[in-house]
Order: sequence, then structure tokens, then C-alpha cells
Amino acid sequence: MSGVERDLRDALGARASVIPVGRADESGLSRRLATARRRRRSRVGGAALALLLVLGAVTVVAGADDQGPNVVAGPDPSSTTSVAEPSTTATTTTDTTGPEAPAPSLSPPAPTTAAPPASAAPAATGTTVPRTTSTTAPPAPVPDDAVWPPPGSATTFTTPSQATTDFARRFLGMTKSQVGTARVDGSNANVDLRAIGESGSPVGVVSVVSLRRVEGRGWVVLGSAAPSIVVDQPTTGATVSSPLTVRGRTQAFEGTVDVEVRRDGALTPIGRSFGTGGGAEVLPFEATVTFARPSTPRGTVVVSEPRADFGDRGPLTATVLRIAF
Amino acid sequence: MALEVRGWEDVEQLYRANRADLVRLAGLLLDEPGAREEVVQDAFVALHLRRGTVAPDKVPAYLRSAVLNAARSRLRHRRVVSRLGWIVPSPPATPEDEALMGDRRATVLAAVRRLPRRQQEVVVLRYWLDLTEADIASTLGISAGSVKVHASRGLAAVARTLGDDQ
Repeated sequence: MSGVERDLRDALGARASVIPVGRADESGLSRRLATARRRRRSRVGGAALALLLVLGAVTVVAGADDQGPNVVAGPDPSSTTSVAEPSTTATTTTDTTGPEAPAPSLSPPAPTTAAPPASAAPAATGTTVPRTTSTTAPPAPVPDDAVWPPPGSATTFTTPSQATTDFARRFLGMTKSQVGTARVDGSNANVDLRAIGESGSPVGVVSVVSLRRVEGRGWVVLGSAAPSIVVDQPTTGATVSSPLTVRGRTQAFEGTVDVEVRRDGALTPIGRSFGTGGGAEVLPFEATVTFARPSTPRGTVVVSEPRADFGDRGPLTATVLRIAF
Repeated sequence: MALEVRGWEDVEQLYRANRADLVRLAGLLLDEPGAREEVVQDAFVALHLRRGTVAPDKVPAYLRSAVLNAARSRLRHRRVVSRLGWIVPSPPATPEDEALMGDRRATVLAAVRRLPRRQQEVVVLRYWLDLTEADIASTLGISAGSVKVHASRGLAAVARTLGDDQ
């Protein structure tokens, strides 16, 4: 080794040794992953939009949409299910799915019970005990203003917490979530829902899921409201068309919220965008979502705060409202 | 650190075990203290997003390459913005650092700083990380012959500077 090489080795080694390394920052690493994913989603969304514009084939897209693989439920009068209903209390129930919890399935949700929901009312007012129900009778139709279960579904829920758990897992994709207090007032209920972090502790703010009990059907989800995401436009039940401007106020992580438009019967959005509001304080956001008109008459707007940690575990919190096309 | 990257947990484990060396590598090529950790984290995020496509034995080279590319990109951006040219490796940050470095070392580093970008990278990988020509070639995505050429020219330039200085 020459003298110059020794000098280089010595100088670079000395310089490297005084570079402050600091401590590992796993949370920062997770945040950068979330940011990278959001950017990638935006790029994919932009590319998809550009493709749509180039093709100019809105009708073709609508046709493809109808034939997509994401139909989550359909009438299945032949389904006869016999399952044990978990023991729950009227006011509080906790459901924590572990790391092994499967990703949200795009296949029809497994009916938790197919019992005639008319007998489900006591679940909201008293402690239920484990029981097994079995029936072949199809339940009453899902009302038009319900977000979950989807229209035509044979799935019924005998308690608000049960419906909230299924809504969180399947509709929102929150594979790690905790269902908290259920406040029941006659045929209406509000249930707290919170995401679970890597440590097993709740993270983020509580979303409040609103539900209604329907005669012959059981509990259905009407929507959810996250205190950190207030949607001013569109309003629940509004008839919308593309391009849809979604406005509101948010205090989400890094101020970013994901905005999706979904049609009934599909978990994959027909349009997607994102808005930027406030991270440290509540600030207005606005996002424009472009989509091909679906064949279904109704759908949902989902405005959510993405999780900063790794995993396709759904959003941290979400505001979901019903719309018509 | 050849490891199969199957999920985020593997990436976090790799990050904890190897970030220090990569932060130092970034520190030798960047004079933005706040940017070192970022380029290193971005390298691990990129590794995760491409998991399954990076062979376990290529992970070290991939991470080094990602850090070098990110550092290069940041410097290019700064050069465009400030028109100040490349400034690598970073100067001593504090008087204590300068005292530790000494005049001779400072002169060597100043000579390295004046090298063309590719020669700087080869010199740092060769004389700080002790990588072989094959590993340097793999990290930089160039041939082993090119590594030899860059190393030779870099070494000669530093020797000239030291000779002029003496």
C-alpha cells in the first residue's frame, strides 16, 4: 500500500468516525414508507386517469367495472350458515385481530349468522350468550341508505358491534382494529372504532360508526365519522357525478387524507384522489375525484387517514358517507 | 448482511443493524447532516418496496447503491439550485472535529472533495469501506475495469495535491 493510500484510509476513517450517527428512528422509517406509498398511489392514479383520457372509453370502463372481480356480495338464498355468535355485552366489546389476521377478502363475506334479525334486538339491550343459529330464510333487503353490508348481501348482524367489526375489517380493510363502546338508542346505535398499532395498543383517533337496526335484517352500517376528518361536501345522500369535488376539514398525519369513491358491491374504488389539510391544526382540504359512472345507483365516499406504519392494514381512521350516482 | 427480505420486520432489522455504516457513507458524500438519515431511510424503504426482486446476497450492494444514488441526486439538485458545485466529503462540522482531523487529514479530504463525482465514490468505497473492485463495480453499476480507472485517476490526483502541498 502506498503512502497516499494510507493517507486516504486514515483521513476517510477519521472523518467517518466523527460523523454523528444518532439513534435509529424506526418511526421516521415508517413515515417515509407511508409517504413513498402515497406518492406511488398518486402516480398510479395519475397514470390510470391519463389512460382513461387517452382511451376516451368511458363506456368501456363502466362495462369493465361491472365485470370486476370485486363483487363482495350477492343474493344467495341457498346459503345456510351455522356459526357460533361471539359473546358480547351491550355496551362494550373488543375485537383485536392479531398479526395473522387475513387481509380483507374481496370474496363474498362469510355470513356471521343468517338468523332472522327480528330476534336480534335483545343483543342491543342486554348481554348475549354464545348460541348457534341456523336458517334458510333470506333476510330482508339491505336498505338503500346502508353502507354495509352491501346490497343483496345475505349477511346479517345481530349486534352493532358485530356489524362494526365486519365493516372495519372488510369495508375499510382495518385488519387490526378495536371496537369499543356501543351506544344504543332504540333502533339506532353509535359504536367507537379504533386502529391497533404494532404494540397492540390503540393508535389514532376514534371513528364513530353509525348503525340502524332494520326489521328482518338486523344491524346495518350507515356510515362513519372521524373527528379528524370532517367532510362538508358532498353531504350524505347527495347525488354526485364526475368530477366530484370533496371538501372538508382535517387534522390528519402530515395533513394528507385519501379520498375514494366506491360503487356498491366493490371494495376497489372507481375513483381515487387525495387532499391536503392540516397536520398540526385543522385546516380545509379539497380533492377532485374523477370516475366513470358506475352501473350501480349508489356508492360511498371514503375519506381516510392512512397509517404511517407498515402493512396493508387499512386506514388509521375514516369518514364514510353514502352517495347516489 | 445478506438477508432475505420478506417483510417490513426484516427491513427494520436490517435498518437497525446497518444504518450506522450507511449514515457514515452518506456523511462522507453529503454535507447536509439532516439529509444523511433521510437518504438512508429512503434506501431501506426502496428495498422494502422492491422486496422479492433483490437477491439476499445483493442486499448490501443494493443499499449502498441506493444511498449513493440518493446522495448524488441531492447534490445534483443543490448544484442546480446554488451553482456551487460538488461539495464532498463534508467539511468538519465543529472545531473539535477539526482538531481530531489534523492538517494532513484535512488536506487529504480537501483533495478528495475536488475529485470528479465518480472518482470520489470509488475512493470512498475503496479506502473507507474496503470494498473489492467487484463489489464497487456492483454497487456503482459499472465495470470492474472502470473501477480501476477511476481509482487510479483519483489516487493520482490526490497524490498530486499532497505533493503540491508538501
